[in-house]
Amino acid sequence: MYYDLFAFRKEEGFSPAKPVKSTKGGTEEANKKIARSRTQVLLDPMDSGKMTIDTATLQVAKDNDIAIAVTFRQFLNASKFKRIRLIVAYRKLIQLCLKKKNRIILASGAEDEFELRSPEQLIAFGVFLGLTRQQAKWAISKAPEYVMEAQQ
Amino acid sequence: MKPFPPTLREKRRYIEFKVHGPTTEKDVSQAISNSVLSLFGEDGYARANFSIIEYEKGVGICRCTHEWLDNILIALAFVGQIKGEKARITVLSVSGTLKTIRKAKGI
Repeated sequence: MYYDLFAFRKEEGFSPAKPVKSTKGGTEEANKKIARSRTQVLLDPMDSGKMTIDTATLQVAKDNDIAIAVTFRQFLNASKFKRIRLIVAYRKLIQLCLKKKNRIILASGAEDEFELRSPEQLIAFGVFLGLTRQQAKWAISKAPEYVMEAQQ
Repeated sequence: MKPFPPTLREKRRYIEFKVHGPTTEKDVSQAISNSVLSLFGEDGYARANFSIIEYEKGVGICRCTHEWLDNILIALAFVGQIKGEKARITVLSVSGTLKTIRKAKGI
């Protein structure tokens, strides 16, 4: 399957995209370190459900052109009470990102076919976290495109 | 009984969805209801006026009020397991009338 896709790309003249440098955050220290690094995307800065990112870190991330990515997967696989903590924490994060004008990326973060979600569902997820419909659309289309273009 | 005037009727949205995974109608209905209940509670469930209208061969139609459409879409996305097995629900289309959605479905 992979080989067929590779051959098809070659025939059609698609140039393979360079992989985007993304790093998974989580703890306060890790988030601060990533914000100062050459990473392009900070993945899931609060996977424990605690507020582990502050405005100063977000400002540094913005200055270094690092996007903040929120994946649906961690919400899907969390237990009931952890999910509540995650929703509270990420709503706060989205609020801060909008204030600091950080680039937000929404993704499914799927590891298998059952974790994949459609764009409509990801837009609804963005609206649920506090984005407007337009911002959520931008977060699943234009924001990742910008990061990929920057990598090229 | 005198029908409600159009301005007082609630605006409904019908969602056509597909279930990926081995499931029966009862299990799917229970999983979606549990997801809506756990995310929005009984008050939210009532406000959304949520119900599953039909389900056949992995494709079903559910109904909610237009104000709660995004919330119901997110509740459908949060269904990750049905009866202990991995599953996912994808939204095929959203419509304002049952007639249109059935037309799209090819009934």
